[in-house]
Amino acid sequence: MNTFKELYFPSSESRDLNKRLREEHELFLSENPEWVPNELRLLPKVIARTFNKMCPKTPLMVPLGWIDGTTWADLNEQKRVLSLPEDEKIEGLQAHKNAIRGRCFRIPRPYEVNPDEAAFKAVQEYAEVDRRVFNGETFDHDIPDALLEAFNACWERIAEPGEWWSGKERIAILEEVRKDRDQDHPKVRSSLADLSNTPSPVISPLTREIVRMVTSNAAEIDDKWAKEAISLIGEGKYSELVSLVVNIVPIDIFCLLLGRPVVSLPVPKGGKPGGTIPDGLSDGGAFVPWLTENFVGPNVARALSFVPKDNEVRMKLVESMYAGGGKFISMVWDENEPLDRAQVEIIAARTSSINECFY
Amino acid sequence: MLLRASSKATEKTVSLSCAIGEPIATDIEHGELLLKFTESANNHSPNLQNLTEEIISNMGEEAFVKASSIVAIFNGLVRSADAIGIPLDEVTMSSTIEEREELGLNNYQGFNNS
Repeated sequence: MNTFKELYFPSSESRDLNKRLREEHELFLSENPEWVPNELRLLPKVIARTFNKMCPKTPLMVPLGWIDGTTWADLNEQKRVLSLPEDEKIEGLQAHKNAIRGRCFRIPRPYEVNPDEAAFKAVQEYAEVDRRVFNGETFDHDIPDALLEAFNACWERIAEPGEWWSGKERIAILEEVRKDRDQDHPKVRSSLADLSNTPSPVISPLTREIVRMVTSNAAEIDDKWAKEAISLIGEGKYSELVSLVVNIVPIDIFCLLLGRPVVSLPVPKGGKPGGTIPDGLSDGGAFVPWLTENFVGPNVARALSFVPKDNEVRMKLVESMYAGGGKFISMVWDENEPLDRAQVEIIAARTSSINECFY
Repeated sequence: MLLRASSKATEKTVSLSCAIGEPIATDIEHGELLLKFTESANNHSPNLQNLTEEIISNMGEEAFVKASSIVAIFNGLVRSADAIGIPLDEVTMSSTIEEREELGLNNYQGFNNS
């Protein structure tokens, strides 16, 4: 509990902690100028960039999330404190809480409210904000929890370093997917062999062209093009690139169809790609090796088994958005389902045909 | 194949040619509306909003959310299939010879990978 003094006159410990966190956060913003706290995720990037740039140079201006303690540095501090031994953890959490309280002038409650009073309950309910990137409040329609969970799992994963691309490269690939969706697509595509594979600045022109092809011209991919792409960037990078495209495209389309903006891409996490090739892969007739040992199921389920973590995210999306397990096998669905199986399949068949997909 | 199997299981008739954009002949409930919505959602046509409202008023909000999620996820699935060159599963390949021929699906690039 904060003392009256602490509310108005933050202790030297609180001031020191705030000074350190502010410095860490401003350094982070200089490298990630579009960062915003989760509660401001729908803020246009241009506004976020301008604000984050102005903030360190403008007196009395504080970073987004500073007053609420939701800056990147605060979240990191929380993580750090939670990993401490129990007694230090309690002390650390309190010190952090005090520091946040001391960041602005706050009016203390005139008296202690009783936990069963309406005012107390209202404050508690207000505080229970769903801070997940995708939550029901950001949609105009009721969205099943399974979908929101799958979307959030995907968002969590795409920011992490993969097996073949770093977190920063993965986000750059996803930015390219979105750019491509908003542009007219050239009919004559660049020859892969003529493109540089040197990062410029994060991913290479060759990678960009492969992203464009998978995003907007996947139906034209033939054996020759795929083999050339794979020979130039490698099976691992190719598989992971495809997984990123096919995971973000459904989520973005879903958001747009439901009449809301797409969600800003997450800030990439640090770390190096693992480079692990899973066991049990071999040639199964696709462009890349896939799981052949003890595999039972449709080929589409193992398509990206070269990158199992990303494939797991993809299958979670498939299960929540379409059908999984026993429901996939059953041709007659429960009457409580919003659409029956035949209604779902008519949409699926037409979508596949519009995309000229043979599979 | 799943469209044929699911309509058969529920004793509904459907002309598979509706999948390639031909007029639909089916007794699948709201089949025509769902196909119009699918076309519009995939082609970003301006009447999407009207069709959305029509689905919500005739079939309910949950049906609209599910229809949107099917359009969305199949846009991911088709890209996985084409970019990875997934060959058609053997059972599907052997049981859809006539349909593929009739609907011209063998002309799609992906056929060469199967």
